[in-house]
Amino acid sequence: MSFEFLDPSGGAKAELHAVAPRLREVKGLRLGLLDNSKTNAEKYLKMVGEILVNRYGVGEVKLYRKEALSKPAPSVVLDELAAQCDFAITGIGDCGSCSTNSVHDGIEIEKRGIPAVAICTEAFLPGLDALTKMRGMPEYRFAVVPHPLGVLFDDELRQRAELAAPQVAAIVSGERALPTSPSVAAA
Amino acid sequence: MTPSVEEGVEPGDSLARVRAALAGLVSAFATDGYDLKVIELAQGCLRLAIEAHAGACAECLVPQAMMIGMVRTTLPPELAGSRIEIAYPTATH
Repeated sequence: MSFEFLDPSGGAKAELHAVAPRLREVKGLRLGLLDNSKTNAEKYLKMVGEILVNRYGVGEVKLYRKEALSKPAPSVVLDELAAQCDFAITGIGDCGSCSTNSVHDGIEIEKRGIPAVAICTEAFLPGLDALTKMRGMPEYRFAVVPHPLGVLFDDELRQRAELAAPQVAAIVSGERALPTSPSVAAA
Repeated sequence: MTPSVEEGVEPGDSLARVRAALAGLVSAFATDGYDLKVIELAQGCLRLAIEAHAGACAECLVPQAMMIGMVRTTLPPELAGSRIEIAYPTATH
């Protein structure tokens, strides 16, 4: 038996991966929501999914869950999601570990062949830009909304869902210019 | 001799470049209640420390190996080969 030692810090050059093929449209397609168990995550992701159903014609929304927000999703969950859905949303990312792991999960889903968009707050953009390079997918794009998400009331969450949904639709269909939230655009 | 620092460049200049490059990460992790401090760059080794404020979210702090990777990816190219050591708050990691 032989062992391969890997440097988890990204010290070695990461193998480059292309993002999954983009979708022509999301109408009638199956959306997988990967809930990271953070407070408000399930509620918020469902709000985004509902907007995508009502305004973009998404056909079906399935919910998946990982138990630890500060760890990557188990492979079995990612495999199941990628096999049963046409595109995915991961989140929510409004802290260091939940943002990085939401992006990590999104990249791992993209590697399985379907577009996946992590929804993160603007607070962690510098770390996330570094992470996409570390993980070998510098072209990976995520949706960005104002900070925070985990401590909001429903009406505030709904406003941020309105900001995220158009970004998700644009990213999975490969549009270059993304609709951005007002505070992100002003930054 | 510090192999990761350009010849003719004062260590202080390199440290200033490190601080400038990491400013975004410093700001990001401050959101969770952590100070990412640049301690020194000497003998090809960049030493950083993370200090937790009162009430910092323990679960929010990214693992040390990932933090090192993000710091390395964010450093100026001429310093990215430096050895990186980050002291973590013992209560959380």
